[in-house]
Formats: sequence, C-alpha cells, structure tokens
Amino acid sequence: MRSAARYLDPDFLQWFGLFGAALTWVVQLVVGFGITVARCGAANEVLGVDVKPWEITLMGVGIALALLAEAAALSVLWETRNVDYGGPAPEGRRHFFALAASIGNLLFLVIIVLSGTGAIVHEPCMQS
Amino acid sequence: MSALPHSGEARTPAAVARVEQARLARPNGWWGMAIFVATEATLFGTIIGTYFYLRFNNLHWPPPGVPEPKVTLPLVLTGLLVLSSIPVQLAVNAASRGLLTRARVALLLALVVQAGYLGMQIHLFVHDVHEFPPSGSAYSSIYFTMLGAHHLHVFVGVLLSAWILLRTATGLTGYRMNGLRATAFYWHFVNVLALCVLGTQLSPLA
Repeated sequence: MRSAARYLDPDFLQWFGLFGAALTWVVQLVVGFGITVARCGAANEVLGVDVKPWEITLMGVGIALALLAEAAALSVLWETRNVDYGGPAPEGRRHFFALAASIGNLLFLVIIVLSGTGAIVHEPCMQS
Repeated sequence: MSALPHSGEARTPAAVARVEQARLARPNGWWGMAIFVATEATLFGTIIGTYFYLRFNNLHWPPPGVPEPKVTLPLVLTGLLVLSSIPVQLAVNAASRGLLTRARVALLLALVVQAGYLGMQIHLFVHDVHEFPPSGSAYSSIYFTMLGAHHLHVFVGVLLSAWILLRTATGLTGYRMNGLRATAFYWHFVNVLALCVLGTQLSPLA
C-alpha cells in the first residue's frame, strides 16, 4: 500500500478511495436496470439481450473496483496514521475521509455483491 | 517582497499570476460551477435514459418514415467542438501566468469554433424539424429534446466565452480569472456531453 501511495497522485487516491465504490455501485445499478429494460422491452425481438452475462460482468468489474477503492482508502489511512481524524486540514481531513471511506467501501462492496447476485438468480421480466 | 493579495484583490495580470501560482485550493466559483455541472449531468442522464427506455420498447427504431441519423457531418462538427477545449484550456493556462493577450487570442479562437458549430447545428436542427416533426413519434420527440437541450448548453457556453472575452478587454483581475476557470470547466463539460449525445444519436446504426 505504501508503494501504491508513492507512485499514485495522493489527491486521486483520496477521492477514488472516497467515491470509487459508491460510483461503481451506481453504474452497476443504472446499467443493470437498462439491460433489464432492454431484455423485457419489445425491442428484444431484434436486440436479443441476455441479462445474466451482463450482470455477471457488471458484478465482477464492480467487485474489482470496490476492492481497489478500499485499497486506495487504506493506503491514505496508512499514510496519515500519525494524524488524528479531528486534526487540522489538510492531513486531519484526509485521515477522516480515509477512515470514512474504508468503512463505506466495505458496505458498497456488500451492496454490489448482493444486488448482482439478486439480478443473476431471479428470472427477468416477471414479478417475484 | 509584498504580501500576497487575496484573489479578489488582484487587479493586474502580474498580481493574478502571483495569486494563481500560490493557490492551494480551487476558487469558490469553480466549486459553484462544479455543483451546477452536476445538476446538468443529472438532466442529461435522464434525457439519455429516456431515449434508451423508448428505444428498448419500440421494435423499429427509428420508426418507419423517419430517416436513419446522419453520420459524417455530426461526427465532424462534434470533433471540432471537442477540439475547442484545447484553446479554452490554453486561455486558462496563459491567464494564470499573466499572459493576457495570449489568453484572449485563445479564447477568441475557441469562440469562433463554438459559434460556427452552433450555427451549423441550428441549420441541421431546423432541417430535421421539417423532415420529421417532434410530434410525429416517440423517436422524434426525444431526438429533438436531447439535441435541443445540448444546443442550448452550447449557446450558454458561447455567451459565457463572449462575456469573459469582453470582460478581459479592460484587463485581467482575480475575479475574471475565476470566471475564466469556471467557464472553461463548463465548456469541457459541454464537450463531454456532446460525445454522449452523439453516441446516443448514432446508436441506431450500431
């Protein structure tokens, strides 16, 4: 983690760590919804959309990005370990962001796995 | 060595350059534009989402009687528009170093490209309205809503560029520098939107 922090822009690590997993989930949700609409709409007669390969891909990429965001958050947390989260800006604020992100990313990781699994297991185009 | 002025107190290009070189954070005007851009991105996300919702619920897209979207001219025009981000960014970089004349020339070049793009697109828009009116089908409704909204954003970008060009005619201040930064951010966003709108517009050909 220390080497990643050395080679990557600290600002990028901080913001990707904070928002990366959340944005990944948003993309998974919106694109997944679009795929389901395409599968269940009249146009599927010509488009031939299959939901499962799309959802598996979205979930796989989503898990990878959420884990990368968690790694970024942990690297910032490690770099600012000598500062209190209520300490003066910018280091104190970076530490606070990283602490919040390291917890939030785990929640988003679970959401990505659960929503992806649900979309794969359930049959599309019918009420459950 | 004199103390560094507050960005609002910088009244000459040299003072602006000193403030910009010492700047640790983006100005409030930039953050205001970032929030505005976020709301506009939501608007376009909704419009593009609506386009694809309608597309997925219609077997024939575009419907019979509506011509396939044109490819070459929109591609060329969008390419030119996206390239106009370069002079806009050059204007920001020059102004932040106190090079006002260079900044104004770059901004003028960008303005000419932007205005040319808008003129050509309005011509195409009017032509399309006569060919398949917005009330004709779901396709034409969302097509004209999407393109009209984007052209309106380009128009606002042209007004912003012209305004900042006029304001800098009497010199560069910290306030105008912030305005230039915010205008450049808006313009880069409009160009990203142009790519999204073009991709959506040409999607029936895929």
